[in-house]
Amino acid sequence: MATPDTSSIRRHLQVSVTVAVAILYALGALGVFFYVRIEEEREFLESLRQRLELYVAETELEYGGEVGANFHDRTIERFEAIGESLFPNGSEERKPDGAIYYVLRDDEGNTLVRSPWLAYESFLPFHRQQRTGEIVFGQANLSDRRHVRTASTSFTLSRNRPPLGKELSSPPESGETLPENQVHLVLAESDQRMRHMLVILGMSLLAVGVLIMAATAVLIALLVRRACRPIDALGSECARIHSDNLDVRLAGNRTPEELRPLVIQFNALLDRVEEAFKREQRFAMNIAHELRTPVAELRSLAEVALQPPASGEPEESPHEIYRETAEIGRRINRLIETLSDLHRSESGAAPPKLTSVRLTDLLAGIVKPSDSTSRTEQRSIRIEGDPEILVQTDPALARGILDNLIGNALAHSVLTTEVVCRIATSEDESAIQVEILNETDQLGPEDLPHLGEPFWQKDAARSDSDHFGLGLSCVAAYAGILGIEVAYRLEKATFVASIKFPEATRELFAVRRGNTSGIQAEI
Amino acid sequence: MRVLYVDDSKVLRDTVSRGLRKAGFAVDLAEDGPTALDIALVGEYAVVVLDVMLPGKDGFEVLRELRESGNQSQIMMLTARVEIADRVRGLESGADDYLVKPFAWEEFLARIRTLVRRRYRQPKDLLELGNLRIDLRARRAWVGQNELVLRPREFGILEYLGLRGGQVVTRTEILEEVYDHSIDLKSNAIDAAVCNLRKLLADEGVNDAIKTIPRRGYLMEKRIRRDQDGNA
Repeated sequence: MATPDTSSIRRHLQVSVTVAVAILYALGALGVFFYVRIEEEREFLESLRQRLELYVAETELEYGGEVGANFHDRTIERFEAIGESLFPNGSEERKPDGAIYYVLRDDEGNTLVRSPWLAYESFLPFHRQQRTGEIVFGQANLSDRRHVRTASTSFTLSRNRPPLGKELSSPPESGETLPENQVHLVLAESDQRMRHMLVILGMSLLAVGVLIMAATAVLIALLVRRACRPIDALGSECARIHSDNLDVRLAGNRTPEELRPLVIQFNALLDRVEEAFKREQRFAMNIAHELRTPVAELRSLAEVALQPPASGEPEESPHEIYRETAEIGRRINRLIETLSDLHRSESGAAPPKLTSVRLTDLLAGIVKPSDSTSRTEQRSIRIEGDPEILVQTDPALARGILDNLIGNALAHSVLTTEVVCRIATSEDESAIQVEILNETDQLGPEDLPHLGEPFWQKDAARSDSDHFGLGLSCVAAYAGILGIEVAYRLEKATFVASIKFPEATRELFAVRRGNTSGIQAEI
Repeated sequence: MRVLYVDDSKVLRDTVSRGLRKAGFAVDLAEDGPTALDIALVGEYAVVVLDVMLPGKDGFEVLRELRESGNQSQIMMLTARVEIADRVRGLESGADDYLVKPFAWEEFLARIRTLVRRRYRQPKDLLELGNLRIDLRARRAWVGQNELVLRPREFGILEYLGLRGGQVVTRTEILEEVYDHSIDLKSNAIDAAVCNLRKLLADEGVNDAIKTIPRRGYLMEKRIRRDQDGNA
């Protein structure tokens, strides 16, 4: 049997609901059938029991010593008249369904009276051991294979009667004791009619079941299709969303309540996809810009140099062209190296080499006076904190982080202000934190989420050819390798870049925390 | 012809200005949006080349403000951004051309020349003033079948006078458009060049093609004829 395609919710629902209805209907039909059967059998046997009691009441011992079983009076006619009057003993005609069969036997098993239809049949069960007054029900098959239900009982004929087969000339005197006359009566009735009725009931239930199943299958298919219409609509709506219209969102107002969480999650997913897509676009655009500009410069330099000079104009100096070409080449090289480094860091290709590093040494190495440029000349850098604090980190990567952060602080701080590098510990002394603070008039709170995004620069014109906007992306990548937390915040006009070394450095710190005198180095 | 080139890349500013001067254009430079706007609104430029990503004000903003002020210069947007939306935005904002970096120098020059022609409503590269023909692309000139042997400055003056045919052109305009302020206004270089041009034209039978309008400047007629064909 082929399994239904459960990948289709519609088919799954159709099959499941149809099977569920079929099971429920089958259980119901079986319940009805067995209930009717039990009730019918109960009524049938009750009727048989009543007849048996009637027959017992009608049986008496004559004074002549014979059993007088007057089973053919008006009372009994009700049960047997049809059979007895229409079909005489030995008739070959078919016995009617409602015929009553009886056999009255003495205690020795001799048949005293029997139903005319049993002229040649005396196999109705006979229970000699039966207790007096007890009614035992049973089943038997007649010679014509007709199935009958039997009820048998044993009873004693009156003690004031002579023994069976012995005649009394007069009634016994008072006080005379006569022997008991134990007899056994078996009554049988065909249950053909009941069985026939049950077969018809069963067939009817089956036929109705088939019809109900067919109707249910069609109805459920229609209902499921109708119920799935919002899913189809949702699918069509989703299919209309492409890379060029990622700003489209699914309308949740007409969506059924059950699908609304899906719509909400899908829209949230679209938000993230759109943001990622835009970030990728910005990245591609920015990298194109960063490469196109120097290539344009190189190409123009070369092609213009090849043009003949204007009359009266001096020839351009080849030395100047070479110098400019070399400078452009260095810039492209720096961009490519930064991108490669970023890629290596993000892909985790370079595992960190951890060693103990004194943070103040690291910071002092970064801000040494020989590195001063036109911008740094107008700013001072101050390092605050415990000079003995050591961290377990990769010196090259940690230097990369601090170098970029301090470089940014110098490049974007307000002229003649101070850049502060503060080494501190967290309140529970579990982590070491370095904060780099600078005054800025360039950044706003809306810029903070973009920090760390490759190529992002506050100046949309990207006119600063010394910076590509990759510094903070590198910081994020290095921090990821070292497990360092990096956070940026604005405190009024002060920009704070905060890096938190992981808990693994706590032990080293604890050993050396005795010296908390701190230093203030001004460069 | 005077061109304003606006770019925040110093290398490109220097290189492009050098190349344009070699090609006979007078060039002014600006490195940011506000400066570009100030210069373009004051000066008279045949072509303004605007980089899109500029400090201060971006190229689109400068373009919009120039157009709003009624500036008639031909404007070429120059950018490293290749998105169609940017091109459409530039052209819809009133730009006359859009070129993506990096560009081929020849293409850049050809586009500048096309814009210059458009500025002076000269649809073809060949400027025909009667018997005088000037090829603006090849920078050559003929009277009839005979080619005039011209120095670049002489060709610049002839070209400018030809494009402004029928109009009086002042010495200051020639100084700005052809000499790029490389000479002093009091210098007689312009007069000497015009004199030489007249001589060359006269050698080919064209007299009085360039007239001197006292205290105003020079005038070149729209239709120039050789003396044997009639009057100039």
